[in-house]
Amino acid sequence: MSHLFQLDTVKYVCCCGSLKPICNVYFCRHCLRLRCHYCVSHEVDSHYCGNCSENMPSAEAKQKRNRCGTCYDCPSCKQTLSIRATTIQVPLEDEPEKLVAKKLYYLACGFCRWTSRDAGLPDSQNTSGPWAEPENPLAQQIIEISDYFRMLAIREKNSKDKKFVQKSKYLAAGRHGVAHLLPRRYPVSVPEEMSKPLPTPLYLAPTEGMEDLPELSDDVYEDELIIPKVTSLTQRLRQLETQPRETSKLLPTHKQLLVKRSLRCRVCERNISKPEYSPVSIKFKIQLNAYFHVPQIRLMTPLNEPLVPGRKARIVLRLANPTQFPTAIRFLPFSFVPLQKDGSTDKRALDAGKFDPTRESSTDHSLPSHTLTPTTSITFITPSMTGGGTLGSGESTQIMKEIHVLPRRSERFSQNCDVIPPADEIVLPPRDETSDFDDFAETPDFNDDPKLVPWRKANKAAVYLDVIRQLTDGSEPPVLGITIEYDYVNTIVALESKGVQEPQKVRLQAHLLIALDRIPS
Amino acid sequence: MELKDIFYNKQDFVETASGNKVSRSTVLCGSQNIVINGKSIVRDGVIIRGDLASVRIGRQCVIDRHVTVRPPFKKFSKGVAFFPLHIGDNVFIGEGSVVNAAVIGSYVYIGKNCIIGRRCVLKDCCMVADNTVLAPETVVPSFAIYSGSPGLHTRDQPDCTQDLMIEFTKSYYQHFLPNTAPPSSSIFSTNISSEIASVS
Repeated sequence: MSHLFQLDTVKYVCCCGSLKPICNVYFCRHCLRLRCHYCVSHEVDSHYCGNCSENMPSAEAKQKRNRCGTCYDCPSCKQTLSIRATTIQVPLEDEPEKLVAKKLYYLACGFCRWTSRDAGLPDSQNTSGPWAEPENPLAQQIIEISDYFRMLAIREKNSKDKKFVQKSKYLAAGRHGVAHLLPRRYPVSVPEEMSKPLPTPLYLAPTEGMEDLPELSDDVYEDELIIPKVTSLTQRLRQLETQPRETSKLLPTHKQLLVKRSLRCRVCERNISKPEYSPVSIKFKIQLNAYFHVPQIRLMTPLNEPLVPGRKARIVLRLANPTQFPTAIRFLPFSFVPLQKDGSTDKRALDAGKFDPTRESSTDHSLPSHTLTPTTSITFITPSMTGGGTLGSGESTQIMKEIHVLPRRSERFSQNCDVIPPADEIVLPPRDETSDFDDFAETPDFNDDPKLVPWRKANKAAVYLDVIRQLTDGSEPPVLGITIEYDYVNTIVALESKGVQEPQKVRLQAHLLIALDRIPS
Repeated sequence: MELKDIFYNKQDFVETASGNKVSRSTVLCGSQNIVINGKSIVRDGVIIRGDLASVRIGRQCVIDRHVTVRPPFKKFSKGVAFFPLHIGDNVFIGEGSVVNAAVIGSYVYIGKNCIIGRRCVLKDCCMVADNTVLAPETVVPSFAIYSGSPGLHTRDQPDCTQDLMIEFTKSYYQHFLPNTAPPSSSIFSTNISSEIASVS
């Protein structure tokens, strides 16, 4: 969907180092950080069938191997099969000379014209089947293997429990998930039982090489190969258990279920996205997509001509404030520092000369001298200690935690344009739904410098920025790195302390990479 | 990137009181059966077959050029019956697509040159990518992106699809201007080009 406004030209750098358009990033309002799909935990809320929109409890879904009981996919082209009816004339039981019409049903694919008759399945008297299920020739073996591994897992878990000294509650919760802290459900086996060797399952019998192979039968050489009757690889793999060679053995497959999933911040363990339960609903109970919380930056128009290395050019950005509070945006040179496991030593500077390797964290910057040194430390928050109890009380603990909990992605990017940051901040009024319906609403006057802000409407504004492309060979497409600093009003503090505290205003930073290679077509 | 202004000849379009902009070079069969709820754009070359069954189109939809909207039929033992076609709000249907669906939800994006088969159901917030062929009676679930031929569920939409689609269709409407009108924000985009020219 990010193609709509070419949102993918502007990538937000998530705290884990991945690059995402704004519609794919989330904003955790407890940690006040950007989170992406890689650094949140995904939880399955409910299973449902995309075709019949039927909800299925997770236990049942597991039993049915995440497949819908009533909907079928075409084994040939994977489209949903529809049920067709035919009528045939059958003789009555009492009077064989009298004929009555009887309805019979079969499955048919509207795309490739495959029908269940092609598979040799007899027509059914019911709309719901039953249709032949592919039988797995290895079912017994799979059960044995999975039983064997389950036993191994229990053993390993038991032996680990004894050795493992729990250092801290947080580490346990972070690395192994909270399930670890729940009361134990499996019986602990006694040491004697543990030392007993497990009976090896039958399948583990070592395979033996064959000296002489049986001759291939004659029909392999003699029979003509009819390509349309041979299944393709994808068709075979869709029917994993039998993997038929001939198209006539393809059987309808049950439709794969979809899931509704909620997302949870891995650092503070609070929900950042929770959809409503119903499969057809598109509403969310909790929705902390960055689109609704972080100022949106877009290229307003494509560049007129390609950027020449070493030369100055002017771009126009469109800013929008999606929140209910006014914000002031300041542009700074790009200053993203990726998460590092071990403090200051192994800092990989993304762009030589731009980073001070002694810097500790992404919120404590010493910026290049030609800009004002902003006070960028987040002066927030002693988050209430109620939720989970594992929360640290300060910024450093949070960063420590992020280092431990989040995967580090640090996607490779080259940032080869510099911005000449304007001295002024750009103030954006809050979002107002009514302004969209009022075409003649007066735009509040912010006494903007028309050299900086040429256009304004409601919560949106355009900004001129001068950029210089670095003196590189110019083979890579031009990418502008920029850091914005903006006001964010944190209402969650007031909510959690039951209105004792005012909503806190904090200064936050977001790091963006803007592709400047789109020129008008 | 901001959408570009699209200019149309004022005499080629009919603008209704509710803000619909319908091209005069469309084929609207059985126009008494066609309801367009307002602020929608129907561009030239579009065919809407209201004579087969009623067609209801929601608010702020965009039906791009050369789209065919045709109510679906179902074969019964005693002949054929046509079913009404409902399209929700803030729906975009791209150039050259053929829509034969039974229901299209709200905030749906259909790309260019798609074929939406008979009696398909497109749930809210889904997307059909360019050049997709959907088989008859396909159900596209919410937040799914279908693409290819045959159309298959390949990716998922972001969570904020609803607001993105509202913004997109609204901005399309705002940038769809008669050629007599002064350009909306491109007054300033022309300024920008001249400024950029002066800088470089």
